[in-house]
Amino acid sequence: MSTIKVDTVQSTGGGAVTLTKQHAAKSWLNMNGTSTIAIRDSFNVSSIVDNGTGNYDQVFTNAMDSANYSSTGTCAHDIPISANRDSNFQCVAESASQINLNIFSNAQQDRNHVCGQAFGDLA
Amino acid sequence: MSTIKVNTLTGTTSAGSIVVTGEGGGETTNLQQGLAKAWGHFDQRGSILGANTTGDTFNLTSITDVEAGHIDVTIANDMVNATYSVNATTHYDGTISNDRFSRFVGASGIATGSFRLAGQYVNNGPEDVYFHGIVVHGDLAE
Repeated sequence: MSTIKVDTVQSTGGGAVTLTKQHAAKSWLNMNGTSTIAIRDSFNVSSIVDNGTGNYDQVFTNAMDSANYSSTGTCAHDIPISANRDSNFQCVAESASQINLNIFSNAQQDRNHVCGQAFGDLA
Repeated sequence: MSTIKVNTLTGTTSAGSIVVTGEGGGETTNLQQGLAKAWGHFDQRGSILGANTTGDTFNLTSITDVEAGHIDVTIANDMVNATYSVNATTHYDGTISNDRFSRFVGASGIATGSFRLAGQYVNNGPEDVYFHGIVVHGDLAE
């Protein structure tokens, strides 16, 4: 077994290093989308914005290189955990710097558990 | 081009933190934070793998049928808290012949070692579905 201890990994030219057959997520989020919205936990998220009922923006700390990245997510009501109030949920790569999250269930609705991830190239 | 072949990478300042430069060269990202901590897929309806059958997984102990549309997912090496991010996608049965029959899914009951997924076709309309993608991101426990 061999181990390298290092804080930063770069290519020899100072750019992105290739991890064989691996692509890490560039952002993920768990937020409460009800009442005063709040981030529970996140990676590469500087802020979230409440655009109105069932609509939020997730703003990156470090931006992507374009708006062509992949964004996915899941949302759910949570009390009780068997409540069947899940919703149509769209994650749209709105720009290189943010994702728009939209929840619709007959009408715009807030949800307690809103999770999202982004995969693609950083700027 | 240079290549390092190694079995383990560990941070020096913090063992669980290594910074890598992004693709564009202008931003950095944290390697460990970006890695999925668990993933898997599960056929609850039974058209692809068989009813209540688990496909490939990583860091999952079990996926269990609870009731129509509802499954419980158990994580092998627990997360450090219950605020991690869960993503999942579902389809009616995973077959091409029914490719227009999308279903939606939500995660709830998130705990350090488990969470529940509920797939359904309308609100308050749970039914057995094909969970073709389940992914967890967040921090592993020490």
